Amino acid sequence: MSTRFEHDDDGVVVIIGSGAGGGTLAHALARKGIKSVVLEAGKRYALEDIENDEWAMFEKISWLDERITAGPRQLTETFPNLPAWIVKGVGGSTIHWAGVALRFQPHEFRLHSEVGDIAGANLLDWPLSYEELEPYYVQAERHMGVTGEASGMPLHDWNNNFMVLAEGARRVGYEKLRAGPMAINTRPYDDRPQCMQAGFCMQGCRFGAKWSTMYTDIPRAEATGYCEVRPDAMALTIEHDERGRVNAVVYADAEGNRQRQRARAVCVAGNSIESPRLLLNSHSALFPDGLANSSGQVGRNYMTHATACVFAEMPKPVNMHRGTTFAGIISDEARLDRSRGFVGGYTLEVMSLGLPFFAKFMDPANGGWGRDYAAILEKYDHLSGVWICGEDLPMEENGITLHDTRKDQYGLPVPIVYKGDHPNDEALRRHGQQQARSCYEAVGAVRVFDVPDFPTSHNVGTNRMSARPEDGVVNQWGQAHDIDNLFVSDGSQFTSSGAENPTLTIVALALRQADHIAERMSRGEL
Amino acid sequence: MTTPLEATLSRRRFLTFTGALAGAGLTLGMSSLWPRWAQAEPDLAGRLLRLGRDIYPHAAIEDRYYLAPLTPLLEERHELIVAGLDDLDRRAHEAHGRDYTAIESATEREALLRQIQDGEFFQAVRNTLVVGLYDTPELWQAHFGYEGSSWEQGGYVGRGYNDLVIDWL
Repeated sequence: MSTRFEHDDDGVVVIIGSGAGGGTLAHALARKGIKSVVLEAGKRYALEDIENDEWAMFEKISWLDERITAGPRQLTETFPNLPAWIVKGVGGSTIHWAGVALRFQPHEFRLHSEVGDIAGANLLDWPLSYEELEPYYVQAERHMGVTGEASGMPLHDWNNNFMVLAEGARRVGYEKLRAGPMAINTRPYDDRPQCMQAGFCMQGCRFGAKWSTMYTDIPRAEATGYCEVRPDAMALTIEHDERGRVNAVVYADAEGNRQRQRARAVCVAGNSIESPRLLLNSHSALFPDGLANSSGQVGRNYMTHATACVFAEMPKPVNMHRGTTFAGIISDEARLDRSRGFVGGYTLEVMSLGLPFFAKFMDPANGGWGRDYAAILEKYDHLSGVWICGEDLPMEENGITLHDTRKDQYGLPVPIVYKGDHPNDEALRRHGQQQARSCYEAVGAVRVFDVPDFPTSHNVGTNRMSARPEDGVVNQWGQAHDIDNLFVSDGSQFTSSGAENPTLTIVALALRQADHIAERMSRGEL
Repeated sequence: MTTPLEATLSRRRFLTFTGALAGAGLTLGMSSLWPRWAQAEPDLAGRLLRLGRDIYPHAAIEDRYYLAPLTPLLEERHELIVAGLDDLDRRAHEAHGRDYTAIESATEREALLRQIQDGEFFQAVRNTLVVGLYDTPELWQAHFGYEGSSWEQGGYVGRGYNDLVIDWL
């Protein structure tokens, strides 16, 4: 924590964001002796700041700067200024994530080749195969402490919530039922304790049993002496020299003063809204459409996963709030099988919400009240829930743009987050809702009801990877096609969404990118 | 359709409630636990209470838990609330010839509220209540079976996170 780099030190890599991408990258570079400055827009929190309190933590750690939700979707009505549920703080959204650590499936890296063109979708293969990423998946799993083979930790015991869903799933013929893989310790691992089944995974793990860069990669990177983390540092623009190579990042510090950190290279990892926003805001005479945007794809192809929730009231108490929030996964529908009427697959992930959030999210629309509503809430302890995590097809018109006139507290144009569904997304969602309903009916549910999707925590695709510069923003290393010392290091580089939670893949990509950066530096190319 | 038992219960509730409204409210004892604004304006509080109880009806939850979370709304948007309640009474008179709080049937009251549910007044009350009412820790265990913060007790290891027996099939 004591290392300080000068603002005019042009030997540092500047990393913007400290979450799954930026935090992992900073640590991996530090272990190689590569200096970095991490600019984190949010505050630094301690474990003692983490409470088992849904609304208190929502207000404490969420990214609540002004954003505009847009597009033909319910969120536009119900959460007009909260399109995404992500974190502003050191550790980023790894404080909030629920720990589900699934790898993408091999075919998901080449979805376009598998299914061909689909009208209305901007499908593209990743310029990277599963086989190329696999060693980094193993490394990421060991690094994060993912239950299962790589870490040697057993999977979690099934909690009551998953027992209910799994019994129903078995009865409808599903077989791929697992309480993992999760980056939540089932025994002490990596100097962190085992899970106490407290619930509240998404409010931050009070025990540190769930992997988060907040208390792993970030302090460890700082301890090497090769990394300085600056909280309350909001990146405003990335600057470049006359040849078009980036050389500095201008940011607002805690007092609102503008600072300028010189840079050897810049890695953008601010999540899929802020990362393209920063590139667009960094337009210049040389790059009038924003940095790294010769393809016009910066900010486009925004994907969130095709999602919905299904909850069921059971005949007896389930107490879904006890134990990990996302406690079990059903993977039978994750396969590619066009006979279902859609491409891509989905996972069914058992989930819980506490009463305060459930009361709000069960139906956030204007009609979410009345005797039936209250009657369900009185059966809160009898509920079980499942979340559908499905492939969301990229569409060029879904994305992040800048408002013409509205500015945020930093004087930056407010981002407009536009998202509509492809018909494929709708078909997938309907299928998932029906299958989830069947599972709960098979296990004797008293009633089953749909719950709309929340402001999304899975935001990917807005600076996508592509083999050809005209199709995307970065190459298979996350390096900008247009600017060789500019990198994207978060989920915005995803070419497709897969049917899996994004964090493990973000970490694997960051570890791979760190190797690549080190190698290029050793060759004198960076 | 309401069952006879429900009708009896709601009738009892209704009588208790209207009794409170009829000027005797402050002598019932419970109202000393009302927030200050509600004690200062018991009529306004009574009308809001009926509304709040129709939005999220939980018969066993005491009045003050509905009133307390509405305090900031009364402080910041008093005019909106008064105008909204007056509008609701106007609609009640048109449809039933009486004040909203004097309509005995919960179904009829709900039907009136469905007409205004997209309006600013109704949503201000609903959005305040949905957060405030259900974020009241004293109510969680007894009324909903929710246990709240658990880390102080070491989470649920050995305390019932994986003890379900599915014996109802």
